[in-house]
Amino acid sequence: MTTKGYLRRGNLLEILSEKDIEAVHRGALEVLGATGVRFESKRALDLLKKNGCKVDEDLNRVRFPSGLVEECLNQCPSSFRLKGRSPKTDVNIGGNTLYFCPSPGMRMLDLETREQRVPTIEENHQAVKVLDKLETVNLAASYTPYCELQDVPGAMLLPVSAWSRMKYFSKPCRVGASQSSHIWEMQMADVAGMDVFAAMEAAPPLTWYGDAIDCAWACAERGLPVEIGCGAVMGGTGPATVAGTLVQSTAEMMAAIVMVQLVHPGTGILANSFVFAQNMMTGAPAAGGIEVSLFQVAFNQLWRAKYDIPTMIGACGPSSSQIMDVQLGFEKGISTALAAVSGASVVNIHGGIHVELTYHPVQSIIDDDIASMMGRFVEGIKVDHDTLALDVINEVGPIPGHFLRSRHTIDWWKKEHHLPKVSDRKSYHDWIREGKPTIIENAKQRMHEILESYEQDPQLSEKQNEDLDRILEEAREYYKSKDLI
Amino acid sequence: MDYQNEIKEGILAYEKEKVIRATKDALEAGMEPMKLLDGVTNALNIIGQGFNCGDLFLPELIYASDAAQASISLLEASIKERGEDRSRKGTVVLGTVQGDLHDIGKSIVAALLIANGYKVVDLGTDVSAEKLVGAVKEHQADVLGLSALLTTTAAGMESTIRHLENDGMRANVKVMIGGGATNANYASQIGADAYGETAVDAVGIVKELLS
Repeated sequence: MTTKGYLRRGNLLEILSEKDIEAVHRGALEVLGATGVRFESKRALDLLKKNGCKVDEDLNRVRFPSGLVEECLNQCPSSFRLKGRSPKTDVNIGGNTLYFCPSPGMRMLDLETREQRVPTIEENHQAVKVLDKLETVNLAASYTPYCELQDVPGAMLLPVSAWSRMKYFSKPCRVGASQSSHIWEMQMADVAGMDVFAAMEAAPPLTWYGDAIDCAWACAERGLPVEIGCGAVMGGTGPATVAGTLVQSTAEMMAAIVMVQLVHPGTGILANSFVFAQNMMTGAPAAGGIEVSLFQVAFNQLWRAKYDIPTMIGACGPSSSQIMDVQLGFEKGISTALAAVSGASVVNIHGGIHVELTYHPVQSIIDDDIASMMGRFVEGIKVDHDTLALDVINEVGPIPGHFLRSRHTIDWWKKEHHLPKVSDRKSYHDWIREGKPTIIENAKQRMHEILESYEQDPQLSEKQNEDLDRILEEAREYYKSKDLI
Repeated sequence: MDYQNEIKEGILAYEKEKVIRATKDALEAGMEPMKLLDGVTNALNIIGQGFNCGDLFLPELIYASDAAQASISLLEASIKERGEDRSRKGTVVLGTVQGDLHDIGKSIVAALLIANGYKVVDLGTDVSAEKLVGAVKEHQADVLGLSALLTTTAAGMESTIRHLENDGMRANVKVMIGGGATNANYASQIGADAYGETAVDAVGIVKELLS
């Protein structure tokens, strides 16, 4: 399996004026100076104090001088490389390349009952194998893909998820940030011979918890990149306004960047937007709304144009729909399209269904079509002598001429046209004959084919498999000793 | 020089000029046209299989069959000169009926039939009943395939069949119809022998009509 991502051509969608961007930037600096951010970590407080921040040790509150923030922002590289299990799956995050990543879900959507159910470890393996073989999947998030598994205690979920991925997934992965899971995950990645990056995800408003700090610290110390995520819910844990949540999120992320750059200057940063809107009917986060896309487009513009730091749009995968239906399709399609055309480096899309609560591998296969479609879009339109096609237009002439007979068509159609894998493109007659299949049935068929023919590429040695199993056992012993199992 | 392979490679690489040049060179070098025809058929089999399993698409199918047809025409002329006769599965005359300029569906049928080893005489679009019947006579066609996309032009199919009857030709040739304006009911209504929903159906229909 080779994955390359999509190289952009053409202009990016922008939604804010330069003045707007400046206003958000200054607003964030003002919040950092006036109110500051809570850091639940003694060593982080010490480090920040030593470097000129004002620290209120009773409240764990840190207020940041603007100069330090800007200095640390400038230290962030505009791109960084992550090694997959083989050079075929390396990624170079940043620059003009668009990548895609799965979007986890707590449980599995049961396609028969339309209800959620807890998947087995074997079902997790299957979902991971499918992702491994999808060309548009370039890297993985921490939980891949389920966050709850039958017969696996809570403390072991992240280590088991990482173990499943290291065995059946050949692309770079993000480690989890819960109960020091990153320790085992980094060891497993060393065995599998691939890079991981940290997950440092905020607890809004304006708070960083110990687990997130520890995970980022450990990776940064080793020179591994850190994904810094903002996850406010507009109207709940962030202001109801898009601009307000942009200010708050920027302040949270700037605070984290200062800490990470002080731990290890030059650490690669991936700015992740995991912002939703508050569902004012239920109190849950509302995914798939267009206000979320407004936030994401502005977020992409701010982080790329102002700070030149690559972005991940983590909140495209989940929708508010409960099942794999038309609503899921249009919410994912619209949000992914807008994230892609506004300059995201990574868009998390594959497999997620209802607001991070459900996932299904069949959906990941459908999302492979959405991802490749948007990938083709960002590659843009090539205009040159060959593509302008004057020679062939003149050769074919008016009706009854047509271009299906032309060599030019053979040379170009596959480069110019997007060819989906499971979206329906059949003629009416063939569709009737084949039993009127929907895209879901087409995707089930593809899933079956992927699983039937699955092979590890590259193969893990016996020693690597044994080492992965051993590390998982060590994690189990550790959590037992901590009374977490 | 392995001309047979050269022709095959040319078809598979979608290089029509190479196919024509190799065919001419081979004939000049005294190669047996019947043998060269095997190379063409071989390449077309590969293209036809590729299309059926979804690896190849219409542009490749049509271009390859066009290139093959160019070679076949040269080879047949040579076979005729030598007084030999090409044994083949059958001859199909194709055309979009008068008043209708839709070429693509009919061209796909032509490409698929060529790829399956039939001799195809494609008269193009907007073809009069007289011309169609004339071609059936001239080429001693086994099957006449008529296409129409427009309901307003489909009547041209019926008039072609009447024309065949009036000329006493109807018993000599099977008629199959297809295209957006047609269906199985219409086929039986106008006295056609078969109706094909899709281009791929046409191959099976011809095979059945000739069995």
